[in-house]
Amino acid sequence: MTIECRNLTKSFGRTRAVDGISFAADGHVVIIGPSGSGKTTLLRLIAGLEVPDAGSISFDGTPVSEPGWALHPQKRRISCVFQSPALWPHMTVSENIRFGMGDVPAGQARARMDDLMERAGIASLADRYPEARRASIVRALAHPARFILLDEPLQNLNEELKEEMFGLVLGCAEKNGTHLVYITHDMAEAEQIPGMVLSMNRGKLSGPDGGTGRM
Amino acid sequence: MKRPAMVSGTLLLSLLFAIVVFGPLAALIVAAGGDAGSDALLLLVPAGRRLSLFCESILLSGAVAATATLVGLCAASLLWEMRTGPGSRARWLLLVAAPVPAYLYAQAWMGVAGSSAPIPLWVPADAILSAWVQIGAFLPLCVGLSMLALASVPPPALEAARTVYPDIAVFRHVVLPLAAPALAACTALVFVLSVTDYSVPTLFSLNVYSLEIFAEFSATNDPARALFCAAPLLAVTIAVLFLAQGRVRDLLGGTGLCQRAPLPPVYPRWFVCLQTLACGIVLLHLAVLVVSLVLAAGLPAAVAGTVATAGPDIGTTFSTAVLAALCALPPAYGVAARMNGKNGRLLWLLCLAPLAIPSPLVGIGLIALCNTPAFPFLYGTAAMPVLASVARFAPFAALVIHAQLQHTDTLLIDAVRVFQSDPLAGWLRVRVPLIAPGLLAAGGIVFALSAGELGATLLVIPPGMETVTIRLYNYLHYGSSAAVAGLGLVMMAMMAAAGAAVAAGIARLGCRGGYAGVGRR
Repeated sequence: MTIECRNLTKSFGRTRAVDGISFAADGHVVIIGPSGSGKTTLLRLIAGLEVPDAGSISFDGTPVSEPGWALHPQKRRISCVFQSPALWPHMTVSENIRFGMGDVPAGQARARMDDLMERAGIASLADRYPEARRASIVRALAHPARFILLDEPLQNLNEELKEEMFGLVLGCAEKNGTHLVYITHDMAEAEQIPGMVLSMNRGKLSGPDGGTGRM
Repeated sequence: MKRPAMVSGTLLLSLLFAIVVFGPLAALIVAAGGDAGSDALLLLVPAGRRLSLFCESILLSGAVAATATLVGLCAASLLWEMRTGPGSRARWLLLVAAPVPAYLYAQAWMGVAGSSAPIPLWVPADAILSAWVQIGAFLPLCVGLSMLALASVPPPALEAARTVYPDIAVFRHVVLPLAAPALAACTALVFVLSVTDYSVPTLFSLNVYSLEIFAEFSATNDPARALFCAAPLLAVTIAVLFLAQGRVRDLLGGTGLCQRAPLPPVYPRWFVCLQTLACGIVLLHLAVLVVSLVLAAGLPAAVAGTVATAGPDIGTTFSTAVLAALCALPPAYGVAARMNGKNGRLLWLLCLAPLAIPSPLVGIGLIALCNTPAFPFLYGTAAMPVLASVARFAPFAALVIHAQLQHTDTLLIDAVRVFQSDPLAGWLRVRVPLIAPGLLAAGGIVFALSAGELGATLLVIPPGMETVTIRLYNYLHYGSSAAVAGLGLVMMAMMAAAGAAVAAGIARLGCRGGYAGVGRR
């Protein structure tokens, strides 16, 4: 499963958030960089939540985004962990996760959901941020996706929870053969994810090797 | 995999909105373009009696808008402090009274004046009585909008000032300047609603310019003359709304509805008296409305008899209002969803402009539309009053739905785009529940306004049909009676039900935050 971005560009008004980024990855991708460097915009372009102004994205050689067109996110077989938990407040945690699993047969979905909820230590009501954050990660892991896009998924969790959830994410990705596109500020996290590292600054890849490297 | 050839659903709904809302006016302009005689063109510039009537109407509505906003602000500043306990919910009950049509207030105050004297002795002129009633009718709306204006003041700005200055200085130097744009929007909206309404002034034998449009069409049956006669008023109302559109956007985009309650402010005695007086005026109007109608209606058996007699009218009113609400919501959603995108400013203007159109013009426009080869089948059908209501009130629905969308976390929508198994499931399970408070409020507003609509309905209602509003309006010219009061109570019950839906929706509009399951509580 490969992601290939070619000369990807996206502007908001006069600000060029992503500026001519190109890379091809067959495995996990870690994106690092300072705030405002365009990491989230790149992730949203990959998710199909934004349409590129120039350049293209393809999954396994199939184009999914071109200038003026983006395949609907639902059809990309991806799942996302957003910067905020983004849980639908009118649904319980279980309903959030179940809804995210789409057409997975009921029995299979139940078993998978119970297993993940138990491993993440979450109940049906997410009142506080740490519970909601874990629930949003479980929702993404439960979804039958080929790529999981994570935007600083462990921010504001304590060290113990971070470690637990990080292990769960990597373990699930390995077990299911899913690739991660992982944004983080934490170099320690970045170093533990095997795969390509993209270093971004001001919308461009920066650093040695044109901003791409391998851990 | 290439982009499928498909037009966005919201674009189609926006086009439908434009056709339904602006179709009557466009037909009127086309008809006027063909028929314009030189004497009709003279109507464009008011002179003589029409000029003085025009100026008096503008002054009267200006005074009504300014006074209602001022009283509303004073009352709201007291109610806004009730952010804990039962008062926090009770204050939104005022919104229940917001959609009650102004002519019911007029009926109630006419009842208070008594049968012996049509106008009480202590009232110097019809204009003042008319303005007093209009102020009372607009007060619930002004209090609600003023509370939204106060909600738009960020708590840190308040708290920072409170550490240095007394509360009254904070109110004057921080709260008022920050809330001023939203208050200006409130004044502009009330001015436009007042200047385009002729129901209350005419009940007090006061001629106003908006009635002139209706009278011109009734006398000549010439849409061109009606349009040219309306042009000066249209110019003023459009200019006011154009100037206020940025403020309206700020007002609807406010996010402070669920602010935590700060320590109650300590105001000087004179200001507390002013706040209490303002709340007293609001309550007086509501009390007169309810008590006068209940007393005039008589025993429950008499009310039941009145309701039974007016059964078909009540059915017509209810079905027209329900259909108008249902028909208005989809196109209103289409426009609201596109207001933050490209051409957002244009769509804002498209939503605000129809509010400036006097109601008779919508009715005359619909008749002109039916005279074109495209829609002759509509003429004389029950669809006409529904279309008139949709044309007039769909923009209100669009503004409310837009406010709801502004308050909805965009990541929740992004999440459903990623996780939905099919678009229909995404809509039914997530998107509709997320915007349900806004849809409820918008539907309630359209229902209530449609049930009380008079100016356009009077022109397009098919023969043999009558709404409660038309019956009431006709009866009111012969004075207050038990039957009229009974019908007034029926109308108030309908409005209260719709108002409750609006209040419930607006109270929850900005409060959908939190995490999973919290919305179930």
